[in-house]
Amino acid sequence: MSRMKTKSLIAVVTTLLTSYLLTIPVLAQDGSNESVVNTGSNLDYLFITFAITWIIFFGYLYYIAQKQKTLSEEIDDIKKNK
Amino acid sequence: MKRSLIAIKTMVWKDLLLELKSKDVIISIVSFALLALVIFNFAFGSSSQLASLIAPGAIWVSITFAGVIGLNRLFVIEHDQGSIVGLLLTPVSRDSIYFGKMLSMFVFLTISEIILLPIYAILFNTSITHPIFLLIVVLGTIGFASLGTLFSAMAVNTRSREIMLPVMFLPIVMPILIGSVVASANILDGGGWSDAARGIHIIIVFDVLSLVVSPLLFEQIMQE
Amino acid sequence: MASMRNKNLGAGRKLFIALGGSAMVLNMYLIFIWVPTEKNLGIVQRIFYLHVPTAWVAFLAFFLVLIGSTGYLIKKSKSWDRLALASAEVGVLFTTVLIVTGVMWAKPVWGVWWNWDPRLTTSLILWLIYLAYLMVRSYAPSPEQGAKYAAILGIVGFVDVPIVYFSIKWWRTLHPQAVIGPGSTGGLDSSMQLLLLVSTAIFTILFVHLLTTRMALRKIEERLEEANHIVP
Repeated sequence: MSRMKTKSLIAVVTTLLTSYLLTIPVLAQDGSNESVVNTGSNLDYLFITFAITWIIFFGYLYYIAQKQKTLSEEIDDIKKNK
Repeated sequence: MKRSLIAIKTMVWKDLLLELKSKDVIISIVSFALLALVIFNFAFGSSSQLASLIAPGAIWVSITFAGVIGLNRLFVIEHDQGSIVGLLLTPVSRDSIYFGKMLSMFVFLTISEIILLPIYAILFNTSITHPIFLLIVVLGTIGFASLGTLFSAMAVNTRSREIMLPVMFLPIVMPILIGSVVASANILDGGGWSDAARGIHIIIVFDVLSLVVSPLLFEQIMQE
Repeated sequence: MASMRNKNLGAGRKLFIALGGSAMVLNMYLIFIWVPTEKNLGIVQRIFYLHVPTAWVAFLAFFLVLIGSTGYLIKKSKSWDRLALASAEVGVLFTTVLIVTGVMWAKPVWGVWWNWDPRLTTSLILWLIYLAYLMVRSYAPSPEQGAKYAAILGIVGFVDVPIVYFSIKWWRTLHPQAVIGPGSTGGLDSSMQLLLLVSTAIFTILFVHLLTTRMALRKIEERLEEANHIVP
């Protein structure tokens, strides 16, 4: 299972880094508009939003994987003791 | 049909007689509602302008929270003394048990409101005698009692029932609460039927929905 | 479900994850690079392609809870309850993401994290309703009663879903009107519309993965419950 853990961790970090890196060329496209909103700090909101979202989803998958592991072990124990 | 009506009447009468002796439920509801109101006044300060703004919300929130206290007690006697089994063994339909309990709750709430509303009128300097406002109160109470009976029957079997009841019940009773507050606000501000119609419409829809669906689901709970 | 015990996923599931994962990466590309920037709101508008699909998937999830709950009350078979529970849990997850993305979008655009807008309020209530759904199972005296009470909540609670959806029509609200779907006012650029639909499809794939995974876990939990009853 620790290989699974490492894989998920790598996936999360890669996704976060990629999302952040991808938004930089987007910012460059934006130059011509006269926005009321401050485009500089909005990048932060954009990034954090996607980051939190992926953390929530991957976190849930991780939680399920952990639970699956412990419950399967418990059932095996019970079967052994019978 | 006649047997159901007699059964319902008997159940309501029984609950009323018990309540007459102990006055448990009504005192809990009234005192908690008044406490909630005093807290509201502290929280929002005491300008008379503000009072008329928060009056409808404060009234309905205090009735809601106090009503939850009352709901907590609705099935407690049956549960703790095991008499729910006896009730289920009688040749009375589950529907009748539901409507009997619902009517008892409705009566308790109405009696409490009769005591509370004049006090509200004084504390908030509003008139509560407007017939449409009274209609809103009655309709809201019907919805509250009908949904509340269903959830009270469920909560009484859980551990931490005083917590589970509001946790389950309050989010679902929100539409009725919102409708009542909106309609009351319009009326107490001096509006007429057309202003309150929207809110009243919402309350009626939810009342009908809950009166139809709750007995069906109540039957599921009683299958134990 | 021997594959769960082996800690190795079946080939079909592996393929599904690979395809789904690639679809997600594609989705990110489309959201961050392909789709044009919105004129008025700037780059932060791209949260839209996260926020709206999440809402629709959450509604779908709670609809499945309704189906599972009704099925359970009628048939009393565990598989319906399994669907309801898993869907409720994943639905709460998606609703959490919905609220978080909404809040993060609101601050730069409206200037506030939260206002008690009807849409926001009813969405919060939705979250609370299904949280109660998950709670009641732990507080009930037995798993069967817990499932029954939860089923009742699953049926009654669904009434909030149409309220959330139509709240922007029924009440005055700051929240943008629907640009696509029943009762919409239109006005969305075609590439944005396309991306919205694509994102929704891809998030639905994610939902299916989470749902089926959770259902498999639930099966194991049920077996454990049975075992605990037999072995006192």
